[in-house]
Amino acid sequence: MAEVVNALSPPELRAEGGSGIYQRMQKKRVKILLATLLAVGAFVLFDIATGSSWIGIDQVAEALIEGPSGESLSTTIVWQLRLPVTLTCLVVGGSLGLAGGLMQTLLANPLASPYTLGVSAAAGFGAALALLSGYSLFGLSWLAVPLAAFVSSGLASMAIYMIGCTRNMDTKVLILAGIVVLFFFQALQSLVQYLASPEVLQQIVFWLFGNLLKASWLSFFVSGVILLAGLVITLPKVWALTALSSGEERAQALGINTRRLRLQMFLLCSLLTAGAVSFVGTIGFIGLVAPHLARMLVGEDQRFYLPLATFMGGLLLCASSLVAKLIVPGTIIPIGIVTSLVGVPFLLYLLVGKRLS
Amino acid sequence: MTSLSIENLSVTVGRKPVLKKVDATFHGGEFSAILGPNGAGKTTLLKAMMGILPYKGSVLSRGKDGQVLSLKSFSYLCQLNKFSSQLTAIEMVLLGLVHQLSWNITSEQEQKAETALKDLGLTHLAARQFSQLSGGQQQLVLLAQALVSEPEVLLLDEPTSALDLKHQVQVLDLARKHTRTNNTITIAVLHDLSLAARYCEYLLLLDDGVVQHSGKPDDVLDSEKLSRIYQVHVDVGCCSHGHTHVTPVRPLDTE
Repeated sequence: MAEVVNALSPPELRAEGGSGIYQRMQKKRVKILLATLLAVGAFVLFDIATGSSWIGIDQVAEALIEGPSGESLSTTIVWQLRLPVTLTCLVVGGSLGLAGGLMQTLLANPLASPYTLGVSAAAGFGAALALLSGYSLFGLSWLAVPLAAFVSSGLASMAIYMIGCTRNMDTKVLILAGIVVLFFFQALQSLVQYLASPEVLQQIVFWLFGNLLKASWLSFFVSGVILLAGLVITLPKVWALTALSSGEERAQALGINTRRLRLQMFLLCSLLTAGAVSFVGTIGFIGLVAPHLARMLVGEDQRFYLPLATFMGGLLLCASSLVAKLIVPGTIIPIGIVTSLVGVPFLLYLLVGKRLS
Repeated sequence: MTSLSIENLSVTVGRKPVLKKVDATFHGGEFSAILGPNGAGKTTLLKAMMGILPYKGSVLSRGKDGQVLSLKSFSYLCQLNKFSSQLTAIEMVLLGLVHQLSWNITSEQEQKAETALKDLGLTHLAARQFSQLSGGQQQLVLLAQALVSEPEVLLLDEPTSALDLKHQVQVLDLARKHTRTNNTITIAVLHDLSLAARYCEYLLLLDDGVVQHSGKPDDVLDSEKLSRIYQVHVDVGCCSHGHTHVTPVRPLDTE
């Protein structure tokens, strides 16, 4: 895994050693988590305030306090238009950050993310297929796209996992399997687009761009519940995951059933990815960048790393949303384009930068 | 008394039988070593005991009161291999308590980790990233991890392979002290037969997945037996301090 400077091991701490050092490290990590949460709060406020018309932060705060039943224009804009989009942005970014963080731990590879391993592409294919077929579940058309995205991304995760099983979970094989899955589902996506009528094609392309315009209270609740479930399932396993981050063999030596843990977490990653992308489309690089930033700040203790990757994902997507609104005034550029434009230089930096020693 | 009994244990990896009907019994308070040439099945035997590899036969360990011990009572120090982890040394040691840890690390758990590091003279490395340590330091940190949970069964795979002479003696002294103080069953895979003779009460000599000889060091470390198994002429003697030493002279096939 890439050598990234751990902000918690400065020379003064190294020289010090000894009693209470762990408590001090923990305190510093808690402060970093709280500071990130504050930054998330600030970006949420700015994102709500920004749009085709600027609403002052004080008015945003008033509207939020007033509640959805308020009668002022700003209250209507905040509660009916902007808040669901911003909150969806937050939970989608959080889900991608958490899924990316888990994948990088499971595969011991800094380039692992739902996007680079094809899980997002698989979710995209499932969603495109649902849009093409017009299938609705129990009469609920909104459920078909996320469910198809989940089934498809679950199949992709299982394929990566099964290929890994044949080679004793060699992490290099798992990464290659992810690349195979990525190309396979991209080809299927293209096939669905080829078969689609112009109207459906427009929907699919719009979806594949990664766009927050269709975000709603429903998308926030569905993606939010999945993220919450993801955190509830993951957090009791943080120590087993921390053991896994110290190496497969060492985790086994510590009595961790690494095969079962990987299977559970792979399935969870596909659920998180599907929950994240099924309403707003494929958004790249958040799942790659957020875990990196988290690891640089708090190291690999998964109690701090996974929540921080989640917060960072939310923060980065909120920041991208702001950029998408501000880059061309009066126009909202699809957020997937913004995240990729920011993510590409970061990936290059990872590949050629001095931190990858 | 704590004991660990292995009966009829066989392990097949792929289609190759690596261990063939191994029988052995280890006792609490006894420092034992598994010896044998490369590929004899030593690591496989430890992994089977840890439940990491599937096996046929039985591995049964009982505590002082006769109760069956779970794998949570075991600690296993695996062979040193390169893995870049950003965990710090103290975090690596704390992972030895992985089955006891909850969200918050208690001061008692932190104290245990610090003591384990201190016992091996590693206090100054507590906040260093594990991957930035030298091979020998990593091996010592992993030994601290294995000892921190005060296991009833301690399995050590080549615990001295990356260590200098001073640290070899320090590590084996500590393992022996731990074995005697806590009545632990300690089983180490060792390649240095002189160290095995000096520190261990019971030796198991494996070759080609089969137990060739077992018993006290004086019975197992016989030049004829060792020559046949290691395919090398061996001198077995006694040093001025009264310790048995084993010196390889030349390979048999050079004659």
